[in-house]
Amino acid sequence: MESVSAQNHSPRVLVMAHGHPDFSLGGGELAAYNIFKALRDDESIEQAWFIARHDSGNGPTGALTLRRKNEYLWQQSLGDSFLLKAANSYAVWNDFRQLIRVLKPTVVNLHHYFHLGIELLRIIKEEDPSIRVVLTLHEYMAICHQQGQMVKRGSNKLCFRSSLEDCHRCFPEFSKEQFWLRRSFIGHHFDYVDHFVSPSNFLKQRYVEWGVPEEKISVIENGQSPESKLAPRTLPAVAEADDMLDVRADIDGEQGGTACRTTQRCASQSCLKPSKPTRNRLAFFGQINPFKGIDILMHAMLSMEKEERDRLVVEIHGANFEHQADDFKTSVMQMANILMEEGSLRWVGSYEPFQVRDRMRNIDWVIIPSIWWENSPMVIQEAFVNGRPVIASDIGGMKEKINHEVDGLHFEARNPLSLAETLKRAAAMDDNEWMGFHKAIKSPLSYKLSALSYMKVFKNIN
Amino acid sequence: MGWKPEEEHEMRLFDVSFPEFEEESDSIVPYEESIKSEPEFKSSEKMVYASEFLQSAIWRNPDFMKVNAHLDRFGIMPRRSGLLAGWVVIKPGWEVWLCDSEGNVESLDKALRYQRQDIVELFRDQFGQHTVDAGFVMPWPYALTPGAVLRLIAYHPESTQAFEVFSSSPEEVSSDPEGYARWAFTVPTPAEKFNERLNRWEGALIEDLLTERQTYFDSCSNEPEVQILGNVPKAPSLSLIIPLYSRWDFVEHQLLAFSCDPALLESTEIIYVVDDPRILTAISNEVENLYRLYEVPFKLVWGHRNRGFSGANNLGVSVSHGRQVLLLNSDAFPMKPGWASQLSSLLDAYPQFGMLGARLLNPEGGIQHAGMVFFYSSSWKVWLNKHPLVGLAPQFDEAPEGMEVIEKPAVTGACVIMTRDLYDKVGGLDEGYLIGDFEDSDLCLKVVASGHKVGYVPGVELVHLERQSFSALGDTSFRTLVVRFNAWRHTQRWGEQIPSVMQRFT
Repeated sequence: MESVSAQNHSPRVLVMAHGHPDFSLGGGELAAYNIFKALRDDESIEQAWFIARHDSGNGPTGALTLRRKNEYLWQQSLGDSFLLKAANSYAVWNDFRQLIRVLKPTVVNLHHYFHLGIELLRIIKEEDPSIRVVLTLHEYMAICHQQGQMVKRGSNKLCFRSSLEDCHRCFPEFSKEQFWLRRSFIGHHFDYVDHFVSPSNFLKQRYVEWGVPEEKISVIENGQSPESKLAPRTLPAVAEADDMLDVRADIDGEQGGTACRTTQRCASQSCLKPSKPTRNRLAFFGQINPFKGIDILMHAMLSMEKEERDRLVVEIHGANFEHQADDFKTSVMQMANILMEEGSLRWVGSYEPFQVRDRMRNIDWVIIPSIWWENSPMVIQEAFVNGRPVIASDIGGMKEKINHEVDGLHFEARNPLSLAETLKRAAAMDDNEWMGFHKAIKSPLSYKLSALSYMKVFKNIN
Repeated sequence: MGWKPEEEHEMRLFDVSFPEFEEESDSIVPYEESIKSEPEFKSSEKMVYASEFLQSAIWRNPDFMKVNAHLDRFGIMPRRSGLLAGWVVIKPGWEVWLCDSEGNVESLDKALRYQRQDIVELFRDQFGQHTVDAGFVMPWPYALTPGAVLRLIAYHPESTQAFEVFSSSPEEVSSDPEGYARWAFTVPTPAEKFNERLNRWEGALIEDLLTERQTYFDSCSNEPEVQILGNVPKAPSLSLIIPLYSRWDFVEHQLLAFSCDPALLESTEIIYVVDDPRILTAISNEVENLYRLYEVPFKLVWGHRNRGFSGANNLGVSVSHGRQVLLLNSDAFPMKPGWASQLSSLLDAYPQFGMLGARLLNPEGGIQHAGMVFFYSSSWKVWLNKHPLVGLAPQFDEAPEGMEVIEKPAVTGACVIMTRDLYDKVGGLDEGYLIGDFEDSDLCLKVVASGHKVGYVPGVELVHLERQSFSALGDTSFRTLVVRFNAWRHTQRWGEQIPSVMQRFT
């Protein structure tokens, strides 16, 4: 169903996302909105619109409201999380179809199909087969019913491929036949997509293995604002640093022994006693949920000797922790409290996107300990914009986006001891070594360049 | 094979007066007294016992060291007939007779007997080897009303002594064939004896009930309700008949597949037959959405009741207009467009074939159907249908080069195409099977009997989500016993023809 009409005309592009960044700051929403903004400002584009799925609390009424010029909110939601269908079917075949009839886009670029409803893909083509449908994939939702994470339900083990048998094992309440229907239903709808965009090769490969033809998926990284790298954090003078360590040691002496577990020590004892300040400020950024591995990070820290921990500080800049299950919150906070008390952990809390740069100013490393594959985590791009190397799990999108020993360090995913060793090594780095990483970081793709690549896909130019 | 009560009544003696007790015997409690405790049986009631020998018997106190018995189950279809089951242990010289309060008498010799280990263990000490085949099940071929009483009478012919061993009133059982079977198939019979039970009375009885129900519904024929969504072709060449039972979420997936099949949309009338009152409301309220979303015109037909696979398909065919009819299960999904028109033109191109089936794959991609064969089950003593190659990769289903249609003994009804003329000529699907089973091979055998061949088209592939279920040969679940009834009926009809059909394929 490769359409050609968009090729020679100035395109009219409708960008759709499962949420508006005014209300929801996920990577997918931001990526979609950034493309819209670039298209809006591009004179070669006749017209651009942005429609975000939204929930104002009245249910999926299907109502369309103007957010600002050429930006709309659409009251829709997920009706069937198994088949990824919209809640309001009438709003799909009636209202949405009319909308397409009125706007007459030549290209529709959808980000996510979750929440929008996968039926849209068909309806767009039914209304006008010449419209070029471009779908940007942000997770593995079509492949995996476990929130698109490709992590086994219950055990949280990594999942390498979907199959009727495997998926049924994760979800015994859905039969193999139902999983066949799900695969077939989503596959039928994907047939209406002219081209796919994936922000990472890894995600692309997973969809290719699942059945999307390789030549139908382009890899385009999400764009970032074209800012220059931040200067490295200013290190305290040597004497000052020694004082600080002395003070910390005194506090610990007063409190007596806290929960420390014995683990492997750094082979050379000297590496624990830097004679000069090191790049020992590390930070976690992003959503906090069980897939993001914050518990791996806590376990890693607790596995160190106390004096090892005394050599570093980890900051937590995380959102949405309050919305997590109580068990998860309790277990994370139990560990965090121990570490906070002795001063090796600082719980900074949530942040707005515009605050990221400031918050990264005073750290040396960004940590991404996710236990799932990830796609192209926004935090990696943000860290690189700001010139901060990244310590991350050695799987999926993280492995792909971070070059081990170049602009960051990999550790064995899900292994707290491996993370502990990596944290110790990073925190013990002197300035020279760290500067090598800092300098090796390449500026991420800008909004503009990302949008230019998208434009080629919209215009069907290889 | 029919069960004809009137021929089996030699023992039945009507209007025998109440037995008199032998007053002299001091060990005897008058029968009247022994029954006083039973509320449903008043002593003032005029009782009749149905046999002269019992009438003249010497009635005595029960002696459970001579005979012991129990009725575990006793059900009647009011004013029709009944079924009873229990156990009995008898010392030599004694007999057990069954007498109802209407005066009917039957000997236990008529019962189907079987081994009951629990009874052997309970009575081994008193009865030794006379505990063999203690279990019994038998029909009660008399019209009773729910208040009736059945008595098990021990009788000693030599001394003419008699005593009542056990008595019981029946529970009321539905005379709807399925309702009856649901109850009757819980009355235990060892799996290896079930065929005997069908042969002796129960197969014919259920067939009669099925015929009666059919006659009843035919007599009060209610026009089916037809809901039309969109512009269904007025003069279709093909009618697609899809019955819906239990679930209807498959409809959306089929419509999605049909929506990208221009040839099908142009010439085919799609008819969904709702065969389940439980889903009627839900689907009736969703069809507009489905039509608007997929823009596939179709008809929704409701025949006012659950008719089973045969009945639903026959109803669908009866309201359809195509020159050809294609029966399709709702859980079968074509792999690619053009499948229906391909089957349609092959049926025209090969007139010697009366019907054509498709290759069906299971969701994992293995073969689910590549034609059916018949095989004889020695343990069940019936012919069963078998799907060869099931589960294997499709390449094992080798078709001779260039052969589009391959002759098979039978094909599944999950996807089968015929001309309307032939379908009508052979009388469509037989509605005399219970719930649904064997109708498709029955149809195939009718087509063969009409002088046509049955064909299989390996080039048309659909995925069929039918789940395989396990049942061991010794299984006596309702589902398995329904299969056994249907297999029994199928064998009654076609047992002589099947070997000659199969001979051509060996």
